[in-house]
Amino acid sequence: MAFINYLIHLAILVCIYGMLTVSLNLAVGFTGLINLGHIAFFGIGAYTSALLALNGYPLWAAILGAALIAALAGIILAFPTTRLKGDYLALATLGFTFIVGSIARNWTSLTRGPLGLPGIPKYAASNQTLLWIAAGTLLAFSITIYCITKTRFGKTLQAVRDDELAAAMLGKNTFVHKVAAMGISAFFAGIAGSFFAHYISFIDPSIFGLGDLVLLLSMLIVGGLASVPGSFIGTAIILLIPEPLRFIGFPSALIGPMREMLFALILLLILIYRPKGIFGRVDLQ
Amino acid sequence: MILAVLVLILMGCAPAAPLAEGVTEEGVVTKGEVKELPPVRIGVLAPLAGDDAAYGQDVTAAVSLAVEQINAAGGINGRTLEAIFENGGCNGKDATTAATKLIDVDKVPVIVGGYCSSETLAAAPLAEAAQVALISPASSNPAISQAGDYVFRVTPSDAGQGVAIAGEMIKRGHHKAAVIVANTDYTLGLAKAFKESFEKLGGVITSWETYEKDARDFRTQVAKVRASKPDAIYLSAYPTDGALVVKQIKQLKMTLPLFGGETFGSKDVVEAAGKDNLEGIVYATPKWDGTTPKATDFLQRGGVKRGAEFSLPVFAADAYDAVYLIAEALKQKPDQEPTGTIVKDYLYTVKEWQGAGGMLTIDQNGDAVKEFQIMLVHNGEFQKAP
Amino acid sequence: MSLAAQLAVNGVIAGAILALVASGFSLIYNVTKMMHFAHGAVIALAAYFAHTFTSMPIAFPFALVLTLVSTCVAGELINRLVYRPLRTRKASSAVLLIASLAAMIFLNAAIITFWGADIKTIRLPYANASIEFAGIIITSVQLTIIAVALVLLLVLWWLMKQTMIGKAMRALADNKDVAQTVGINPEQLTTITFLIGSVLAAVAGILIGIEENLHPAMGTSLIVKGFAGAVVGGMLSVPGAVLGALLLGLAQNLGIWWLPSGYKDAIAFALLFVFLLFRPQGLLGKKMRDA
Repeated sequence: MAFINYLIHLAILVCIYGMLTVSLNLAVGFTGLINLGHIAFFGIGAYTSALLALNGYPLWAAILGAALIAALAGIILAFPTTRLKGDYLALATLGFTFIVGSIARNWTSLTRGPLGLPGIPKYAASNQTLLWIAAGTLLAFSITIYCITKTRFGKTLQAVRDDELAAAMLGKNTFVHKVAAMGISAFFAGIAGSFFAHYISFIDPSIFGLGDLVLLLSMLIVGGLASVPGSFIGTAIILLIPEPLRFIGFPSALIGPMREMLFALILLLILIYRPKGIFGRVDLQ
Repeated sequence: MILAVLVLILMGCAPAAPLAEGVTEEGVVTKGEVKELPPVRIGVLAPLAGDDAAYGQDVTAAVSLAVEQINAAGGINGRTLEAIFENGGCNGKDATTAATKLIDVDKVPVIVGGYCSSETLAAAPLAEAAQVALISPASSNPAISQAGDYVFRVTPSDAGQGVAIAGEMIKRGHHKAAVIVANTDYTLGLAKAFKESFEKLGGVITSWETYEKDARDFRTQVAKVRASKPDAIYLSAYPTDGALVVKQIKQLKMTLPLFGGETFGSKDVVEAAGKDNLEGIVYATPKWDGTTPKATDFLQRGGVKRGAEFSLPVFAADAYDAVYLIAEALKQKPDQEPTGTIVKDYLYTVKEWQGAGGMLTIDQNGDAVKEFQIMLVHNGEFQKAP
Repeated sequence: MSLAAQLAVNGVIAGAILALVASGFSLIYNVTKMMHFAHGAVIALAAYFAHTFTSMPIAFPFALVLTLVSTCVAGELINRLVYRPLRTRKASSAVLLIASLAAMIFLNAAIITFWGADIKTIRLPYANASIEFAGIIITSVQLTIIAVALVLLLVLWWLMKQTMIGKAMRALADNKDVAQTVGINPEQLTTITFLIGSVLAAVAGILIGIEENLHPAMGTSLIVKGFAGAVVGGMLSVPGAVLGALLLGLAQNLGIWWLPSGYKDAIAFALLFVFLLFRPQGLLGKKMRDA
């Protein structure tokens, strides 16, 4: 019971959500795909990993399974949706998140529905070890994605974002590129989901809800699109703002809502004063 | 910028330092010897914001009331009792953060919570590792029974209630029941327990209609129920949706007898569904006889504290009881620092303890064993069913 | 009593409720190209205003008028305090979306702070009778909702197609810069749009509040389904939103005749998904021009 444990916990959450945000940035910031289904990949990764682990498979298999199934989901989602434009793509992917949530709640023989999956084994006995693992993974993701964006593949993705028609005219298969981007970002999201499930040790269908989606989008936008360090900073800011608010003494009956109001206001202020995000380099129309 | 001003105003609304519970609003310390010893602090983990905020408010009011009363009677071993409230958000992630903060920053020896099973299940491993007692007033997920030695419930398992209602239905001659149930762990648990008991007693379930917790339109589920021709309907719902289901059943001019869980023992639901619509509904609650002195007193004072009726009174009463149990446990060891282990050891010895929420016994899993009673709503009032 | 007929009626009722929500959302989207998700929270706010005003000892119609006015003020405040600063800073639509969600969080929490989290109701000054005909049962409030939704369909169609304001709105939506050169003041028109949208929100809040009681987070699920209806009907058509919502309500209620009731929500989202894949412009929308 030490204060440092609290900080370690927050750091772990920042790393897990950081992985999620960085991977989302690949699809949104670099490829211009407004993917609101990312949370579904996160949840699918979490559930896959949990189910594999709870059924006796070793941890490495659980993580790998989570990543692959999530990537598969990404590719499946990408097929019909990548030919949609802007807002419509966003809506379709949002619909996907809700559909997956509905399945999670009703396919009780697989997911146990609202009862959730308790008792998921941890990666490491101590949180400190876990923090190193998580931070290391986040670093690995960030470097990987950064490197991807520097390759020809990555540059094509950005070209697709900026002017898809031109990219197509130059002979690039934009469809394959977009599907690949979704698949890769989903792969990473699946791993983040696995980390989450094995850290919190209990997951239920609420993971597919608006709450986390709003958080994720805020992290992405506040950090700035198309900026890998931005995603990390954005995650840290959004996750850490509510914490100091715990130490302001509101009347106990109103603690919850007042903290939420403050959080929303602070978020709005950040958006208004830095609408491109802190490190953002692009805007999406 | 107007928004920035709003932020400052909101922050200004908060007093400079956390208002310690046990200190009245005027800042006057209530009666009781407050020695130089530091206060005893307990944590409270409940959904203080979001969709389930109403239940968080139930818990806050109930715990605050208990704390106030305990301090007025001299505190715990001469020390003031203080409660620290954190938002579990009815989900695992927020509950983990809240529990971590309570355990590692506030260093509480015991936590009243979580309310939602997701909160309890997420907080359980943390409490267990830190040897902090976790006492849930409302979580019903069966997995909690195995969640750890330091994990307790003062609310009984669903199985007991299911048996009670099923028995009552058969007793009244209804052998075909339709079930309308919300798709959450609490309500599904109750409904499944009911179904098992009912079928064991020879009953037949004619239809099983579910809905998502935030649904407000059940007309089609009700129409399907009607088409399945049951003798009676069992409703497993939360207050908000439960009231609407009843309202819509009556709108469709159905007069079948209605049965339900403790949700219907709430004034809020009577108000929201309409007194006439709820007339005659039979429900089961832990035997807490809202008419025992302790219970009536709790309801009355608690209502004042909350500023409104309790949303789910029975769980609020359980939260109130949890605080009293903690106080009793710590009073057993007046010369020792409060620890979770002291509370844990005491709780396992609790047998037939009379609380505001009923007579409580705690079994070897840390679960509550309570008897149930059948009640009905008549004229907007709750009475024992004949 | 025919189950199918009752389910169809249920579908129309549900669809009408969603139409009340979708109409305001679609109007605002069509003019400002902004997804005002906070619209759901404004509807919730309207319901709570209605609860407060109808609990006061004043005449029921007057309470409704007060509700309307308060909601308009609230809606326009959001426009001024949140969206306008972002618009002047040329924020992207993604940022506006997040801002809208942040506003929604703020309003939901504010409702709990000022009104508490308990169930609340709106008391009607007259009884809500159940009417039975042709084996179908419907209440007077539900009939009112359907009637209002249909009236909205007609009024909004007339507004967008036949009036000057409607034409100005469509011009603004089509091409903001050109619209300005012909003398349309975008900020003024946006304000008018938000005011009309807030009136629609107030109507929705009052009727839905009466029918489904109040809950602080009621706006969230309303806007999620409402926007699905708007998409199905056609994001670029305001009367389309109403139609889409009606279709969604019907699909959901008739769908669970065969499917287990738990899939009601899944049906809505599946329909949304299918439309986006095969007919993204919705029932009545025009194909979106490639940017």
